[in-house]
Amino acid sequence: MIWYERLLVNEADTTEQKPVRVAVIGGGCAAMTAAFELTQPHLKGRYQITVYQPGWRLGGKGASGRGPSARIEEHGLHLWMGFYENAFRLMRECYGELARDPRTCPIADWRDAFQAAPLIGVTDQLPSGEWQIWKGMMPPSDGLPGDKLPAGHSWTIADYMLRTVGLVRNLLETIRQSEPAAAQASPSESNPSSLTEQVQRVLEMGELATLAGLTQGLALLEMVIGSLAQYPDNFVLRFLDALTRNARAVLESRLAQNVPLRRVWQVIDLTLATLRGMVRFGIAADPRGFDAIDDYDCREWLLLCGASPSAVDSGWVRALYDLGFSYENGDLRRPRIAAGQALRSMLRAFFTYRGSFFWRMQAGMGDIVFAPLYEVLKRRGVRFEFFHRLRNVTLGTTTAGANGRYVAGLELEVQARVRGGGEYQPLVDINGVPCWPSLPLYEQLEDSDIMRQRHFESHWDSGGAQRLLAVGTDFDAVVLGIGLGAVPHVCRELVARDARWRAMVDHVQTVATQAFQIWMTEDMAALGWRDLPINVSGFVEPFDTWADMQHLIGAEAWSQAPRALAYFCSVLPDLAGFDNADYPQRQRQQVRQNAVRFLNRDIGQLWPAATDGAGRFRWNILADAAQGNDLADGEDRFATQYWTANVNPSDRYILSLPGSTKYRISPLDTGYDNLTVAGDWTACSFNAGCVEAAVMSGRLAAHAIAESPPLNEIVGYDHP
Amino acid sequence: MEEDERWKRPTPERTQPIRNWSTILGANGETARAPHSNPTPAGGPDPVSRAVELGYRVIDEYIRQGQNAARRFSEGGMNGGALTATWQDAATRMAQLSGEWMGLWLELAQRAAGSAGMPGAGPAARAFSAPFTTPTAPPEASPLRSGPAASARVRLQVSSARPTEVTLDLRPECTATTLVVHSLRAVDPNLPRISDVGFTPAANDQPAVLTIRVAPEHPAGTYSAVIVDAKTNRPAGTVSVTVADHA
Ligand SMILES: Cc1cc2nc3c(=O)[nH]c(=O)nc-3n(C[C@H](O)[C@H](O)[C@H](O)COP(=O)(O)OP(=O)(O)OC[C@H]3O[C@@H](n4cnc5c(N)ncnc54)[C@H](O)[C@@H]3O)c2cc1C
Repeated sequence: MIWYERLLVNEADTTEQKPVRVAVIGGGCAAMTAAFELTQPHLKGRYQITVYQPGWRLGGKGASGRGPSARIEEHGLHLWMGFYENAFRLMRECYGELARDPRTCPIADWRDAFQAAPLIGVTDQLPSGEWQIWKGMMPPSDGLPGDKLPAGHSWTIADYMLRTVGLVRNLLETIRQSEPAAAQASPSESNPSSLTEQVQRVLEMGELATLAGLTQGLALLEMVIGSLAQYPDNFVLRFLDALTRNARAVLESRLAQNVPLRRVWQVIDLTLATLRGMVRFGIAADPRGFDAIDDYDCREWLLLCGASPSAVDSGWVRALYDLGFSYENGDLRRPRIAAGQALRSMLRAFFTYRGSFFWRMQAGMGDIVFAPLYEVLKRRGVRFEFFHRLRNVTLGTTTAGANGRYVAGLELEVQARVRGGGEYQPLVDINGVPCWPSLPLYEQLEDSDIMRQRHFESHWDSGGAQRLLAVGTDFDAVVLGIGLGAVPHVCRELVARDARWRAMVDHVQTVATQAFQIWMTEDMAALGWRDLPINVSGFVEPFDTWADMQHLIGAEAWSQAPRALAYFCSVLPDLAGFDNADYPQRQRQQVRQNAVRFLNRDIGQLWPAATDGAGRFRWNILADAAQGNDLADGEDRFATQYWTANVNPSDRYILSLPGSTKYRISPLDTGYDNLTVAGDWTACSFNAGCVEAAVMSGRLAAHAIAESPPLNEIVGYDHP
Repeated sequence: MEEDERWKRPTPERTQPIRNWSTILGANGETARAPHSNPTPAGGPDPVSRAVELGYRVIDEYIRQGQNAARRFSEGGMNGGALTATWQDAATRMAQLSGEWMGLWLELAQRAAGSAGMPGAGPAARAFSAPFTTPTAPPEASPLRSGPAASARVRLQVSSARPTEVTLDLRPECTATTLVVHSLRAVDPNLPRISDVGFTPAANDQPAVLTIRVAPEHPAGTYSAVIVDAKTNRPAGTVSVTVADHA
């Protein structure tokens, strides 16, 4: 495969050396990527990897399991975006190396694993209170994510500016092209009222075209003058400035009634504000790139750059916040995301996607991502220590002082032991696909009856023997791949002693999330949704994001297959009493209540036929995977579905709050000479909570240890 | 264990991303630390000409929209009351003023780009597809599709007594039979235009020819123009000519 080109480079210096023993803590995307890179064939076994993972499965925030009827149970909705170059490259390499037999395994190739999902939706609430969905089919773009990029490829602000202008031009063009249709209609064919409507429509479009040009063109002028100062503040300019403001005000009020045009206008407005901002804030010439505006909240920055409040409150911007769970402390009144990273995400998402805007996995994320990675890593000789939880990291200091700090020991809790002392075998076969079960395979464990009472993945679970690993004896290097939320709990000494680490855990924050999945006996059309499968964000809280996941039903194993499957998720506000053992249970109860309320109160907006005459959810359409004989009625039937409160510290979603990204620590620069970090919370250049960031971070962690992969092969690392 | 036996991470070549190549370029254009990358592939348009293109595109669009709308409204007459006089006036005025502020925008764009050091031709010069189309095809349609249409072939004929660099950037979908270009302008409105420029249309398998003649006394500088497709009256690309000082 093309990216094996460089594999010969380090051959000479890898022979005859004692292997470096690397302890990889955690089994999420970042940690597994690091393990994958450190065991690349060209490194010739120089790094000997042991993965320590609490519980029975890999995946972390991306873990999934198979429950009753082999239904897929996820942490939440997971979509991959078309710009995830590193993540797709990893998967393509992994599936390539795995070489599954398509005759026996339906998910043999990466193209079986991921399918294009181009239909997206954002929502708007009308003055009447009704929610409307704006659906858009994102056009396919050239290439596929993970394809090799041309040599010397790089991204620049100027490129993005050009593309931004192109987007506006196209939106205006879209409007212009829609005009003749209205104008062509013969008056004789039309009744008076529709003629009036058509005239009105043409007029509004004309106004929009004029004013988009005018207002934004003039705002550019405004900016030119503001920036260059040397131009006289003469009469004409002042006139134009006033005109800009007036025109915008008039236009916005006129478009209030014309929802489709208003949405187009909002995109134009936001896009041009972004363009102005890029120039006004001098981002093109700033060595920090988009980081230069990371102290601003995205909405605040857009307003500063002249976006109208209505555009800033539009479904588009809400979707940006919702997809990134960007609510400080889970408080819906505090939507906050660093403007620079938000812009980087949007520009990458819209202008650099390949193939499809979104990609959907064809089974659980665990099955699609972590089972293949596990299998390949096992083949490469990686050792997996399941049921091992890191409890503490101890530090050492050499005479070299600050530059000689290192990790001296790792204190682990062994949660369970495997019968007969062998390695735990974690996967089960579902329809020919190796998958993770939702519960441990207890029969492999010692004291299996006692183990059934444990919640191995829970932060509140404890018990088991202590195991101490010492530097030089048990490990040489450490990849800390746990979620940031867990860092203060297991790196107490580090956080207490090291100001940089302390500042990171203080400023870089996380948020709990909630999700639920429902399987239904009626298909989407019968529920009143007549469109293609979609992912919608920006909807009403407490569940702002919905995805139609009916494509997964075939990957499950029901005796009587349901007809529809829907995933919902959003942030989950914290409750008091985190330290109490009943905290996760209380939050789980809360999520259940939220879901029931949402289904009774809000789902009718999306699926009008899913509700009864009184507008409440028809609970009897829920399919029971356990096929219990005495099924509960009414709301109680929700108990047969799947829901989760992701409240474990490590499972909390990482936020990119304004002013926080500068506190992140890079895998390349931890301050400890045998330690690197891997996770979506690190300074990995794409400082957001997503699979791509985690994979980039894992690749950086591998680089920190092995100088491989080279930094320029980490796609998008050198990015504004 | 002995301290010197303990394994240590290699010192990384750097610990932060390069977010902006221009800021690590020395005055003579040398890369400070970019061991693996080649940020400026040969053949890409230079930053200035691309920024100029950007400026032109923005301004072009606004002028066109403003003119179209003004014409439509004054022709239509119907429901004219809905359109305030201010707007009509503004649309016309915008067209009048465009020439004045084009220079300002170009200068700004040049400033931004001059320090941005944009490498790579990138896909920026491609046509942009509308972000949304109405869903008509099944969503799982293959993401693969054929590449862009073959670009129009254009031969360049430049006559100049001094070193002259020409950047021609044509949209892939344009046809070489109907291209027109007007005088090339510099950012500084006081500099004379390069007027001896024109297209000979493609014919009989021969490519279109873009002829540019730079008079010996013409001041040094960068001169640009938008190429328009006469058939559709839409911008089809840009041409930018940099005339060096007398050696
Ligand atoms: C609900 C939800 C939906 C999401 N949706 C998307 C999406 O659609 N698209 C997208 O790109 N991203 C999405 N994300 C984000 C994405 O899941 C994460 O960015 C990514 O999985 C993070 O990977 P990681 O390796 O950095 O961390 P994690 O996945 O958190 O991995 C941490 C690992 O460390 C282990 N660990 C924790 N504590 C210890 C300990 N004490 N000892 C040993 N091991 C430990 C964990 O078990 C885990 O294996 C979503 C996240 C959530 C929560």
